[in-house]
Amino acid sequence: MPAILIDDKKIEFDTADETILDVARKGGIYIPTLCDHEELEPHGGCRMCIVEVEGMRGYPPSCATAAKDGMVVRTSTEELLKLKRNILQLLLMEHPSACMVCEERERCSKYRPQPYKAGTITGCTTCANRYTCDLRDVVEFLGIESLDYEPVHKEVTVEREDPFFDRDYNLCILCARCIRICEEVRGTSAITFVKRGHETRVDTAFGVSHLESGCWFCGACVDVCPTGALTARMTKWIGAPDSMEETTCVLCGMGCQTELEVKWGRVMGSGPGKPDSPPNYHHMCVLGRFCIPSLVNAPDRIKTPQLRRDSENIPVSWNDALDEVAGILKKVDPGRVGFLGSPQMSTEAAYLFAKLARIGAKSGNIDFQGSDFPALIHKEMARNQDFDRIQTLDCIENVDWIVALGGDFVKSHQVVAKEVYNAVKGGTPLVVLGEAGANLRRWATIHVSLPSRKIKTALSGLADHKANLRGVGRAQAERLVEITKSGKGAVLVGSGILELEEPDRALRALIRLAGVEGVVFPLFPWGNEAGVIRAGLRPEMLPGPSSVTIKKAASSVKKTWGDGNLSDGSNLTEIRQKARTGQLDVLYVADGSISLDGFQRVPTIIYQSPYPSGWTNIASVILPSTTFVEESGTFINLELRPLKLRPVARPPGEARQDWQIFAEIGKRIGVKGFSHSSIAEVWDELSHFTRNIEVGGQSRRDSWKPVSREKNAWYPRYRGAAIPDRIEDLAVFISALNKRDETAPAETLDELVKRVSKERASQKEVAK
Amino acid sequence: MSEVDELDTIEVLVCLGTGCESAKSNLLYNQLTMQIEKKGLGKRVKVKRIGCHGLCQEGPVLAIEPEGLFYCQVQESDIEEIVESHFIRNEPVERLFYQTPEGDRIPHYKDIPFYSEQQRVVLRNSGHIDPGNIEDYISAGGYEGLRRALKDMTPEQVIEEIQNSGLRGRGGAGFPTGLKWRLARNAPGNKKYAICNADEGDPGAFMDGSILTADPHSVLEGLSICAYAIGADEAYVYVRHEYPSSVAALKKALQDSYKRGLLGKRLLGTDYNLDIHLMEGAGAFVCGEETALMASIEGRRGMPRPRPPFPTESGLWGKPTVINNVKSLANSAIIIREGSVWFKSIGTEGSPGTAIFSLTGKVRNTGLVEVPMGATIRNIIFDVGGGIKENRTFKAVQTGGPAGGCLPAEKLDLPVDFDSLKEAGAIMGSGGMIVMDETTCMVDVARYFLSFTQQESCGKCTPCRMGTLQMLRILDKIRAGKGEEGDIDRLLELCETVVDGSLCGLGQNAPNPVLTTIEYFRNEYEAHIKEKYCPAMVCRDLVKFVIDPDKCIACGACSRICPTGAAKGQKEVVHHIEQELCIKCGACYEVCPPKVEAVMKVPAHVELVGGVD
Repeated sequence: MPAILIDDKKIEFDTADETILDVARKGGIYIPTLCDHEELEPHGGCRMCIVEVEGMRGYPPSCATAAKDGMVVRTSTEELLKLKRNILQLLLMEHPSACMVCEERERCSKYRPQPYKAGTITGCTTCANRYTCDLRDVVEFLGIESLDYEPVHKEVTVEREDPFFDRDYNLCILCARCIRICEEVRGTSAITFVKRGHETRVDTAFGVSHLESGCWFCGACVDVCPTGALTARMTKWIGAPDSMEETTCVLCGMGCQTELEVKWGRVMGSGPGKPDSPPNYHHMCVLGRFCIPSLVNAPDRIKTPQLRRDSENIPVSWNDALDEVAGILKKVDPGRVGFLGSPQMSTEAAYLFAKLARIGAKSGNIDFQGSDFPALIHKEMARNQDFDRIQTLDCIENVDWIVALGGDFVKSHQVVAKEVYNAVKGGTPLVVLGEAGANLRRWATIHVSLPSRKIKTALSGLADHKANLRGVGRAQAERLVEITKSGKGAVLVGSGILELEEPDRALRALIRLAGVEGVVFPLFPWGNEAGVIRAGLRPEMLPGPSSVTIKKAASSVKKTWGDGNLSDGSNLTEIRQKARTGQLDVLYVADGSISLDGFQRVPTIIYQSPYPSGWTNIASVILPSTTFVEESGTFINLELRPLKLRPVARPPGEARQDWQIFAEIGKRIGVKGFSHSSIAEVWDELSHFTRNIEVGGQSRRDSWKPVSREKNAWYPRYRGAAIPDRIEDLAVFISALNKRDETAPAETLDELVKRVSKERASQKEVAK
Repeated sequence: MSEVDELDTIEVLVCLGTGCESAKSNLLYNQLTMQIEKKGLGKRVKVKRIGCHGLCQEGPVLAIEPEGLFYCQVQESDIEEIVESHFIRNEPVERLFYQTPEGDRIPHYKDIPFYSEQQRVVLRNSGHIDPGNIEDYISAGGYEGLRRALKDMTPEQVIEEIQNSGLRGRGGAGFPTGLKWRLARNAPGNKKYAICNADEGDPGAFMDGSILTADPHSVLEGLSICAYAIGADEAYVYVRHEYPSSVAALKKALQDSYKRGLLGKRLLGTDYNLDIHLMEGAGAFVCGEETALMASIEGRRGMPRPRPPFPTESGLWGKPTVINNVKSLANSAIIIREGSVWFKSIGTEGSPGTAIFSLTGKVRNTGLVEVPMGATIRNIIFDVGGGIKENRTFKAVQTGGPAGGCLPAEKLDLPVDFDSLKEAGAIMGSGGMIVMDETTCMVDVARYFLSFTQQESCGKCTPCRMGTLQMLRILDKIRAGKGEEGDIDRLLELCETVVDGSLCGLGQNAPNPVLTTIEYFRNEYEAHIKEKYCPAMVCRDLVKFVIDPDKCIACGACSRICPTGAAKGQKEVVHHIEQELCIKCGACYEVCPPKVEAVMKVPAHVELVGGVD
């Protein structure tokens, strides 16, 4: 095994692409760094990691110098340390450095009291960094206690015009981590260095706003900043949290691990999970990174159970409310009741909800909003037992090509987009069919902008490797065939596939195209669709999911559940239709995002959600449930990976977890099978069904009618809370997105420069 | 008229180099063609545009071939006389000949010491051929090197020949060109690139721009040979956007080469294909650094990255790449044509070939100069350059641009080659040579070059970004008369930090002007710091302007020009300067009549007795 000698310590290493820094770290030798970051290419800018290597000229940066067998490296000779100290002194010239030599430093780094309060105590109001400050670590390591040079104050105003995060470039040390993560990892390049010499700073090209520069507000730049230059605005001054708790974000199908800052039992901030936590590995999107605290701490959360009496919602005890619900469900006609769950509830809750419907109310009228897409996926994957094709996202690195269809996933699944970009950057061709936003258009090897009605035919041709595809030019079709005809393909399919004619056949063609070893990623838009489908929350499905028509499955369910209605019922559309025609007496709805349309005249509505919505005004019973940060459960993400929800915050008022509410109602109705003492028992019971998935042979949904949808509509909701309505920054971002997609990218660089300078000139005129 | 008919046909070469063009030589060209047409001389007198002829000091210049007559500082109004007298009556216009400092007129340029002391290898065509005409280049022996390389030699043999010639990179560092080519050739991979670095940005340097404007094909030929040798089928010329004439010349040359089959598919009928792209830089000095240059071509911000890996291993888009300076490539073309033995016969053992300088500053003949390596600085400045202007004393010469150093009079006999210059603390650099006399303050010079590198630092690495700024602050302090004991040591320590700590050549060499001025002119620094005295009387805060009452004739010139009303006086009353109001612009000093010389520049702290001020 090759080895190098670092400070007289022999350290072995294996691969040729390991740098001196990598090897040193492996051997437990600390070399200070500021611009280095594990996800990024070596930069070599901060000069803190320079070392002496025998036989090499000067002082090579260890982060960028490959380790070679037999190298003799020194990291801390007196001469080298002196040089590093001198360089660090220069660096501190441009960083307001009082903190480095402050008497209060020790206490400050321990408690991080709210700086606005601290202002009077320690005189520090400059830095909002509550986490580790890499600069301070390096200063301590090199033992700098006084400053040699008069500082250069940049005196720039803190940039607060854009949504979500503040940019205080007075604190910036130009390590370029933010620029590099934006370019190298997230594929956006929204920011860059501008100007030269000591005036160099981080900015967007031409100084436009982040909204205009193509920023996705994923927060990756904030998370890699080693100083307090970039900070989330909402949470920057709240001081050190009591604890950091990792749980799963349910705001889309990705199921990102997020580390929540908890203080006083509340979620005060959110950030990406630990670097080695799958599936997102320390990356997030705008929703998970910036929106969770405002969402879960909403002051208008439903806090107590309520009953509607004389057009008034009267707070009542849980006991009364649950008795009321049990009473309603006990006497309802099974054909005249509907159960609508939520794709954002835990898998266990959904399971108990389905069970409640089928054995508590003896009804098969169960569904949830957005169930068609996961049902389609499950049905088609079950056809040839293709579930192995749904793998973890990391394996996208090993495919030969990628085809994406069914919506701009850069918008709806930013973390998936990051994985795809890294594959594309590594040379994997990307074919985008249909809708594509600015990033996808830039990344795509080929973008086929066919109208959705033509895509299915083209796909069938392509799956047969035919180069005469209707609606596609000959040359482009040949390229398409060349890319996709062999090797292992990855298919990213979004819910937009439902807009196609015969989406099932399109999906089948895609799976065929991907090849024997091909992989499929169903980009579930809502959240826990995969889990909720497994729980069997569809009229034609049983837990597993299995089709109600499969006898073996039905008998297995019956064995566990006892008596119940295991036959096909009505889905959301049909339940709505029933409501319109007066054939629905009771509706139990657990998702406020479902449109009220048609349901207004249902006599009895039970509404269960953390958030008020239009339903609160017409519901007879209102049950407050918890959000995902306050509940236990399992979330199954788009890789079909089970992820745990952990209750990290205290629910407001009397809100209870969904599964507990359903279990309690079941008990009160007096049917068996709701006496679970913990949610783990629920999961165990469900797992019994999910081992062998058999969805084939369904009686329904053999033909899918295309659904139409507003173009570019991405308006994230969580159980009745329209997130952009609650968080203005998100609304601003989303409206900018629509504008971004509208602008044609046909502008050349010269034209852009001309336009921008013209605009500038006219702005100046106006200012005059 | 029969007499005239017997005269030989003549060519009038109008220099359109940057110097001459800015002196409106394009008007001369128009005027000449018009006059010649008017006089019906079109058949016998050909007017030709040429690139830089070399002696920019005397521009605009005209050369009359084949006689080799040379007209200097020609005005539009002189054209008619030249046509009448020279072309019709065959009587050259003597008053426009080159005039020596002693007042003698020299008719032929080859007799002018500026030219006779030079040896032109790379500049052989400059000032002789029409850069816009590929035929001109070919008839001067052009593309013979490429033909030989492609048809008679294998790529290995080409590299062998370049290695044998001992050619060293003319971009500044002097890395052996042949070795660089070999490294790239031996690097694994099918796709390789050759790049011509024409991003010349040193203040006071214009060699590369002049060559590209005057003889673009010689560079393209060299680049093609290089690409062939390393096995590249694509090459780039990275040229500054601020050199519009070079860009235009290159564009035309590329077009013509494609037309003639010298580029594109199947070069000269062989199986070799080559495309050359032109890439215009956006004006960042650091893009002359090779890794930054490649980043710029790739469409990213021009910022250097650490080396290794060197470009020959992983360069443009990660492929093995050779980046050569304009002059290295122009040299390569002629080496293949004339052979390495011939090339080695020029210059010194360690640095064969010639050195090209753009000679500027306080020297009599500014211009483009090519001398064999090993010529002394004295040769260049006093023989070719004709000595110091206005018979002042030589003080220092700055070579290598902002990354170079200042050498004092003791080093005048230093032979000019890569190794000896480096040893003396300066560098060969790309070829700028700025001559200074006693009116130049060395602290000011150091500050000037440092302020350039400081502004052009890309900002990526800390020592270069902030270290140069801190050095600049100290120099400013010294210039302002606020220097303290220990400032020189502080400067030296900062220099060391910046040299050792910086990422790329820009930072590593940025302190050179400071280091060399401290080494050779430490007494000047000390005078500034200890005595608050600027020996060259340049640093504004250390001088003041006073009027000698005994000399003043009360003409009022100073008070009229003074922008702040500091120069006071009335008719027939001796003037004086109000020091509180004076901003030391020096206008009064300039305007005071030479016969009077009443306004004096004196050290600021000198108390003049008798209430002079």
